[in-house]
Amino acid sequence: MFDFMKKMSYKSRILNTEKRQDDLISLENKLRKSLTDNLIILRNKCDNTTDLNIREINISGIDVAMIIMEGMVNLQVLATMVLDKILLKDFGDNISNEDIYDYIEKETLTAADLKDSYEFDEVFKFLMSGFVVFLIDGIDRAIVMGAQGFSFRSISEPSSEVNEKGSREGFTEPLRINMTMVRRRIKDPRLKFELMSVGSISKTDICLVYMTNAVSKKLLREIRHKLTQTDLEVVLTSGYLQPFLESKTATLFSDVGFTERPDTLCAKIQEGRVAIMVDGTPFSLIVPYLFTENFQSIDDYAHKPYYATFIRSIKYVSFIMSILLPGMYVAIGTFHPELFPDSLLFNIVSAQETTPFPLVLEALVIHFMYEIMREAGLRLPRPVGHAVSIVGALVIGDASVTAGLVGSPMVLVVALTAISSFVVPSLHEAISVLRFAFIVIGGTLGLYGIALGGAVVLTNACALQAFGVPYLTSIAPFSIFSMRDVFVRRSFKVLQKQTMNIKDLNGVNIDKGEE
Amino acid sequence: MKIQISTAQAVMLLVLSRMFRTVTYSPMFEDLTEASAIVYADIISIFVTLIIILPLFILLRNGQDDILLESTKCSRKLGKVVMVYYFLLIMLVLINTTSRFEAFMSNAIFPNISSLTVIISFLLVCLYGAKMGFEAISRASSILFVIFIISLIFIFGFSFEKMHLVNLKPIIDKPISTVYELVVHNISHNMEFVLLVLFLPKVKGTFSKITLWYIFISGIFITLVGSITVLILGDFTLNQIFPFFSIASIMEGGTIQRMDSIHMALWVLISYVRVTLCLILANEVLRKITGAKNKNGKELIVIVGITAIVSYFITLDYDSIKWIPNIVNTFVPIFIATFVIPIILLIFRRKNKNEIKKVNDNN
Repeated sequence: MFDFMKKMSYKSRILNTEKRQDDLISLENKLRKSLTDNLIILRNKCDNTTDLNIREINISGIDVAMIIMEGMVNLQVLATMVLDKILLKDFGDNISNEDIYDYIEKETLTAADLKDSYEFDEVFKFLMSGFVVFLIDGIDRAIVMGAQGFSFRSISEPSSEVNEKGSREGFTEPLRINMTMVRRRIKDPRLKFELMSVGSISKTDICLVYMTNAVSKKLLREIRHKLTQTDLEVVLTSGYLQPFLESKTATLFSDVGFTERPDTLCAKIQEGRVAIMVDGTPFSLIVPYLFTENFQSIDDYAHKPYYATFIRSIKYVSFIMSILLPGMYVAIGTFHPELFPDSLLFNIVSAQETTPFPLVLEALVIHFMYEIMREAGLRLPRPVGHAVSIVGALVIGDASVTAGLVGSPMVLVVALTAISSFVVPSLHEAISVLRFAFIVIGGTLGLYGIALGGAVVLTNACALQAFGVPYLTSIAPFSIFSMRDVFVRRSFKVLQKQTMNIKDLNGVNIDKGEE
Repeated sequence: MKIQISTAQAVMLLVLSRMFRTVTYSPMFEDLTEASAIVYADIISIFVTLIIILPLFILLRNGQDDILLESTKCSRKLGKVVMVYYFLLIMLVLINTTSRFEAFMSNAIFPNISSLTVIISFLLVCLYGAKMGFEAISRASSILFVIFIISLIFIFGFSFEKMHLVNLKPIIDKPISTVYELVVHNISHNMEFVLLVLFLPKVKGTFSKITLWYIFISGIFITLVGSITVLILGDFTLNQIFPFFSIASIMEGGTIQRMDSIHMALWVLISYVRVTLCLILANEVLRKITGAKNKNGKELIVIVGITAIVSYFITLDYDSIKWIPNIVNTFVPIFIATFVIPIILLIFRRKNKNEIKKVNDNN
């Protein structure tokens, strides 16, 4: 009993000490009444950074400071909306500090983003986001006003999701502009934007976008929870947040989707998903994301259903080909040549006769070379990238066949595989790695190995489940309802009858236990 | 979170698991004289199976779907005995399937491959599947099921011209005993009921619904596979190690000359489903027996290790360790699992009910 009391008293002492420390930190963070003190603290906290711009003005004997971060504010707006009005106004002699504060806040500023701030941390956050901060001597709060005017890339066609008949608008870097692009497309009060901040140093703004009528509350809660758990110092792109939202199973696939297109994002949130837009990147995250969505594009809904279905079937076949074709070729060529028709077998064998390497090594080397060229083409400036492709395709490919290093059927297989992998670009990470794996397995264990590898990949994809949504849902668990827009794309006459919501799919238990 | 799979997924999982035995059926080692007996026995087995599992129907009809829990409720000792029995039975199925799979691979596909390579590579993949869990394997099986049907259609379509009704002859020599033996053989290898009884608590569906669908679909497939084999090969069926595989070998599918290797890949996947399912269930039962709480997968590794070692010794000399397949062939293990244990549990349940009634009456 005594021990218990002792423990309790110790615990309460610790708690009190922690509380006092918190109070002290909180007090230190509070804005002071003295302008000089506030400016000294601000400068100290920023370590006198060059881009912190403080302009001190004296209005009827009262000191006022206007603080901005250089290059972040629209100076023209600032001059016409604020400075002109303050500097040209005759305040008289009997003006108090509060009067000036009220005047600046109520009479001069017409900006939409306007609020009072009481803490240094908050003031900093606003400053870094392109706000103007006014501090007045004798007042322990600041006016923060949105007058962002930093330069950014203009809205352009999304480079990673090119389409034929849809919109040409893609997201850009500033979050607010991306938000307006979504709002312009869904003029419904149920569309909600929810701002959060992540990254202890970068304090990056992120925005959850969802339809309040369609989204699952449990899903939202879990996403919020996972995002608040991100213990990152800096968040520079949406990819930083992706692993925190993915399921725990180790996998090559991702159950978090990316999009650069506002129209795609709108379609996804309409189905009960949550989009996460990150300031500073044009790529938004979509949660949860299904395997079948990798084969859908906004163009499918612009084309006639039969054509969209045809294109989708091509995509599925291409996906399988891009992973399995080289591995199968190696496996059949090495262990099961009886599967080839005689004439084809003759051609393959005669091509192989001229090369010194086994089929598996040939496949690995040429695929490795292809990956190098792809990576080089991707990172280099476009004109040089094209040159790399030409060098790769014509010079290396042709020369290696002529030199007898690689058989010509193998070059054909690589070319076919490479083109197939471009058809489903969102899965290219998984495709590239799996292709190599299947070449190695096919070369060592033949079709038996390919079957075993297939079993591993299939089971892995089946095991994926983020936020209660199986990654392969619609296929396994099978959902006849969503099949209208998976392998086939039915007409809008059918699709309009009932809107698809992710939580209604077979095998999905997002709202399990939710009232 | 309680794992729950749908009735359809459960049925597909069981049918695929059952198909392993069918596609790797080897009449060469049986004392068969008439190939047509296979077809007749396949059909009769469907009805006999329904009779054998009647006690299970009665036991599990009231929604008390966990047979291990039920047996522990009756008596703790009985619970342990039932658990151990089911565990040993699954281990038997595991070892039998793995060694049979190895025999299939090294006889039909890669004559020069080392047994150890096949067993280790196969069991490692199954271990991964088991680690991914029951839900994952049931989802995977629903995809493989569709591929399996497509493959059957291919085989049926491409070999249609080679089928001859004349091969389906009446059995002249000891018809009843020949068919009877095959029926017993069929039922004794229908271990899927044991698997179903163990994973039933994880299924959103009743035992009767799943069982009836399973018996119906697997019955159709088994009869179809048996019929195709007999109609094409006739009495040559009896001389083949794996007759259904021989059919895939002689099929001509246009550009692709032979389809045996493609079907082999599919059969590897079927074996994978069966062994993975057995591993998951064996692991669960073993954990219940030992009362293990940590999910570190040690039990699973032990099970895989035992399976690998015993299967390897079997493949070294089939004749010296024939007792494992022989135990399965005797019909006794499946009879105890699906008939005797349920009847014992029914008697205990009845006894408990009477005792409760007596106590209530006395009060």
